[in-house]
This record gives sequence, structure tokens and C-alpha cells, in this order.
Amino acid sequence: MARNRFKDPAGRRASYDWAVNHNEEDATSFKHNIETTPSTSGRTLIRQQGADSPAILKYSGTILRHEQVEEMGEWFDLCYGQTIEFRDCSGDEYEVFITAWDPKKERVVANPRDSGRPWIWRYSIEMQVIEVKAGVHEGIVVP
Amino acid sequence: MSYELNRERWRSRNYVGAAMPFERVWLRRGRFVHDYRSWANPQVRARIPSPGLPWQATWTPSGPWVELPNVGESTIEQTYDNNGIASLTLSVENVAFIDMGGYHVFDRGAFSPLRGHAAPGRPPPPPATAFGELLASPVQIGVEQGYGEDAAMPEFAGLLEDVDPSAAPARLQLTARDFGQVLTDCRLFGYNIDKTLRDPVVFASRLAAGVTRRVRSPSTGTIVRRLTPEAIRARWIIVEDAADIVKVILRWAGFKDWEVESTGVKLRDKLVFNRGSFYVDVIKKVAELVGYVFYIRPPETLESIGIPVFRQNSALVDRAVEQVRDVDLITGLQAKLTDEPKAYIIRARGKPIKQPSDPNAPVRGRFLGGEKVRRIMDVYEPPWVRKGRTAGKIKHTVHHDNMLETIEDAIVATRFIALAQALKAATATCETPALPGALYLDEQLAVFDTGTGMSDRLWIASRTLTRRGGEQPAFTLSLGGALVDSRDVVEVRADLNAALSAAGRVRRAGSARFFSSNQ
Repeated sequence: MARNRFKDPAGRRASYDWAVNHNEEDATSFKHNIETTPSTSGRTLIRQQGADSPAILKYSGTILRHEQVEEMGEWFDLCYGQTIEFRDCSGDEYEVFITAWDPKKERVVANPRDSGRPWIWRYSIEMQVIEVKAGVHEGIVVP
Repeated sequence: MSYELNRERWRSRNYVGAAMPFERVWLRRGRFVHDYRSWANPQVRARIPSPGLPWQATWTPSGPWVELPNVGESTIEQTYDNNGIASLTLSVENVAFIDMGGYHVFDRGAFSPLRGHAAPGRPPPPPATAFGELLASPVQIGVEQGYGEDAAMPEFAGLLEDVDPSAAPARLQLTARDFGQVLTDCRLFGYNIDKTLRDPVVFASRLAAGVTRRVRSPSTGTIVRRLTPEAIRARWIIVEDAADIVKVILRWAGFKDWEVESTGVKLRDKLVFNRGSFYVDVIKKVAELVGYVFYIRPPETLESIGIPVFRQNSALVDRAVEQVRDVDLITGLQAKLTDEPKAYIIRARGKPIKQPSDPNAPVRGRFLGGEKVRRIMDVYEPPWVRKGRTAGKIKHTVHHDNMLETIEDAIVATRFIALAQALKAATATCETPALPGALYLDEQLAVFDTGTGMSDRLWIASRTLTRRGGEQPAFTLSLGGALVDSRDVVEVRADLNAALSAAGRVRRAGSARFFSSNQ
């Protein structure tokens, strides 16, 4: 199975294939916003279309190796000033910036992939999509 | 075309898809140039003692239009309290999102005008950006709005005045006023007036500035009017119509297009303004004298700096109106009816009357209270008193004005005062989706609201146009003004029209207290 991959288009960091892919992902929501305001008659609505909501990729899962946690944190930090490319395990590609990275240690009896550390990491990560570059959502314009 | 398209979409109440609210903000550098140059714009019937071509200011752009990104919210406010000049407030996200070809980088504070300036001995700041440098000077701002990009039309043209950066979140608040700010900020002095003029600036009609001489000829005597020596020496400006004074001021201030209605009246006396007066003081004086209103309307194209409007107060006339019902209103008509401005009895006292030495001659003028001087005076009982719509609380209004020379002048003056009181006594506000290109000051909006049971016309005296982007958009217009179909207004208008007819004045002459009709 293909790995999720981060790529720095600016070329400052080597691309990174996640050691372990995510377990779950939230629905990727593409949304047109239409504000409806009732008129004073109460019988009609005034509809005003606003900007589309940004599409958010929200993944969660488990990390077994300390190195992956470090790597993910560095990609999060890179996104303070620029966007990066993200390709998920199904081949969908996006230009994104990471808006949230929430790793949490969880004690276990033994971590077979990182024997020196008797814990694993549960995490969630959120990425805002700037552009859909390829994949099943290609063609959708995001704000 | 844009207005019709906007109006059609406005009526639909569905501002989605192609009719989605749209806004674009433009900036460009420029400056006013003051010089003598040819004039091919609206006619100015004024004789100014200058070398030839008329003295004028001209807004001269010195760079291209640049679109300002990241505008989150804009508010355009306009009211007669600000001399009819609109102000614009913009909220701008101060983060540039720079396309690097395949990815983007963020530059916080990219629009800050303070970037790039390093005082001696201070650490170097982040490098200046083109936008930062643009916002560091009073650039021209043009705002286009509409229901859809294809319907966008100018709603504001002005000059940037304030830039207020805040750090977290990185945001700029920009404040601008329309080009009417020139009228409120610039005095009648130096290059603001024709270079050949002296202080004070004097406007007069030929009637007021001339002497009549009869030149004898063998067959017929010909009457010739020449300027008085004082008018020649002090370089008076001779105007045909009171409205030409306004045109002269607007040309000096840099306006090239305007909508200025002739008043149909001539100055009976000279008008004098010293160097302490602002341009707008002159316009306000003339507006007050003839009962006109003044405001700046947005231009039709961004190449114009706006259209000053000087015309008869439309509360006095039945102009074509836009109509909204409660199915169109976001906030219903909120009326305020008050007795506070209404007087029980209104007196207008004019110039003192010297009694003739002949004891049999009729006595003219009247005393009032302890005054020792007889004056032209009219006493008016407004309709709300005549028809018993009062609690008998006797509130006096006494207006003194030596320019009231005849009893007819005084009668017209008392009715105008009553009308002003009636307009203040019945006011209302409402909020509707914005309608670009219409519903400006001095226009009327017919409102039918079942919730408040009101069906009335609102004479617009203040407007606030708000446009907010983002996921919860707003494109709304809040209006405030007087209810011109209120019983008091209708009845006083009838009295006023009767007084104007009796005085032999055309109604459009407005308050004729200082003027006589040239009809």
C-alpha cells in the first residue's frame, strides 16, 4: 500500500513518506456558503452567497516510532510560512498547509517497533487545502 | 447597464451564483495640479477677473490602478451631518499569500506602510513591499460593488487618510473619505482660489455689483450696467445664478462633473468669504439660502473623482422613488415620532423698518417683546397647532434674519422653518439588501411594512453600505431619514407652496429670503 507523502515544493526538505499511514479520516467537506436572512415579512428569505469554506483534511491514527513524530512536527513547523504538497495513500494530491498537529503519548506494556519507549502516540492532524492537484476531487476549486 | 442589472438581481432576493455580492478595491497614486487650463465641462456662468483660461484643480494620476487584495469588510457611510461626504472603512487581512509557482508562502505584515523604513541606528525592519509603499501615501481609492462581477460599478472614489495596523491578528484598518474632503479641508486662500484674486473672495450678481448708467443717444436712451469701482478694485466674481457660485467652488476644488441645479435666482447682495472659510462653507451658505441640499454621489466610472450634487431638497417634491415591501426588508421600518422639534408658534423677523416721517403713513413692521425696533415679521401657527394636535405647551421659535426684506420673505421663511421641524419630528430607519447605483442621499424610498403598519416614503438623510466577505457574507444598506408622507410634512408643504405662489416665486427657488426671482 502506498504511503502518505509530504513534499516541500521549495526544495528545502526531502520528501517524507509516512512510516505508518493514518487509521481514520474525517469527511473532506467542500462547501458553498449561502447565508439566508428572513425578511421582516417572515414569508421570504434573502439569500446571499459568501465565500466557499476551505476544505479540511483531518486524519487520526497511531504512530509507533519516535522518528515519525519528530518528522511530522517538523513538517508542521515548515507550514508556518509556506504551503506543502500532500499525497495520500490513494493517490489524491493537494497543496496544503498543516493547521493542527496533536500527538498524544499513550502508555503501553511494550512498543515492539520502538523497544526503548513503552508508549505509542495517538494523533490527529488537520490540513487546509489550497488546491486540489490530482485525484478524485480534481477540478473542485477551493478558496 | 450595470445599474439595471443590479436592480434586476436586487429584486430577485437571491444573490447567489452569478449574482453573488462582489467587491473590488483599487488604489493608485496621484495628486492635484492647480493651474489655468481649458474647460470643456458643465457650464459655469461666472465672470472671474483672471488672465484667460479658468483656474482649476485637476486630479492627475501618476501610476496605474492596483487591486487591493484581502479586503474582508467595507463600510461606506454618508450623512448630511458630514456635509454630504462619504467615508469608507476597510478591514484588510495583513498577510500576503505569495504564489511561488507550485506553492505559496505567507508574508505577515506585507501591506504595512511602516515596513522598510529604518531609522538611523535601529535594527533593519522587514523589506518594504510595493503595497506597503502605496499605502504609505494618500492614494486614490476606488471601490466597485455589485451583484456579480459583470454588474460591478463604482460606489466610492476618495483619498486614503488613515492606516491603522494591528498585530494579532495581522490586520489593517484603512479609512478614506471621498473627494469631497477637499471641500471641507481646503480654505479659500493661495492656490485654492484663482491666483489673481485677493482676500476676501466676493461673489455678486451683476445687479449687486453694478451701477446703471443711461447713455443718451439721439434716438433712444440705452441703459448700460457697469461694475462699480469697488467691484473692479476688489476683483469681485460676477455670477449669473446663485448656483454658479457652487460651480466656481467645485471647479477650484478639482471636480469636473457635477449635478448642479440652477436656482433661478440672483444674488441681491454680495457674498463675502475670507481666507478662513473652507470651500464647503461657501456651498453650505448658498444651500442654506436657497433651501438646497449638497452631497457627493459616487462617480459613474473610476476615472471621475465623484459627482457633487447641489439641488432642491427632494423632500419638497414628488420624485420617482424606489419601492420596497416587507418581503424585501432585512430590518423593518423603525419609526420615531416626536414632538420635541415642533414649535407652537413660529416667528420670522426680518430687517428693521424705519418709520416714515409722515404721521399719516401706514405703520409697517412690528415690535416683539421688549425689542425697540420694528421689523418685518410673520407669525405662523403650524398645522399641528391649528388642527389641535398639541397639548398646548407653548414653545416659541423666533428666527432673526436681516436678509428678510419683505413680508413675503418672512412668510416663506416661517413655512420653511416649520417644514424643517416636521421633517425632524417623523424619522425612520430601515435595512435592505444593498442596491448599487441607487438610494443615495436626498432620494426617496417608498416603504410598505405590514409589521409596523406603515406605508410611507423615506427621504434619505443617512446611509450605511456594508459589505462583508467570508463565509457569512453581508451586503446591506441601512437608511435613515424623514418620513415625507407624515401628516405634518404634507400640511406644511401645502402651506409653503401657497406662500411661494403668493410671493410670486417659483417653488424651486427654495427659501427666497435672500434672493429675488429673476423669472
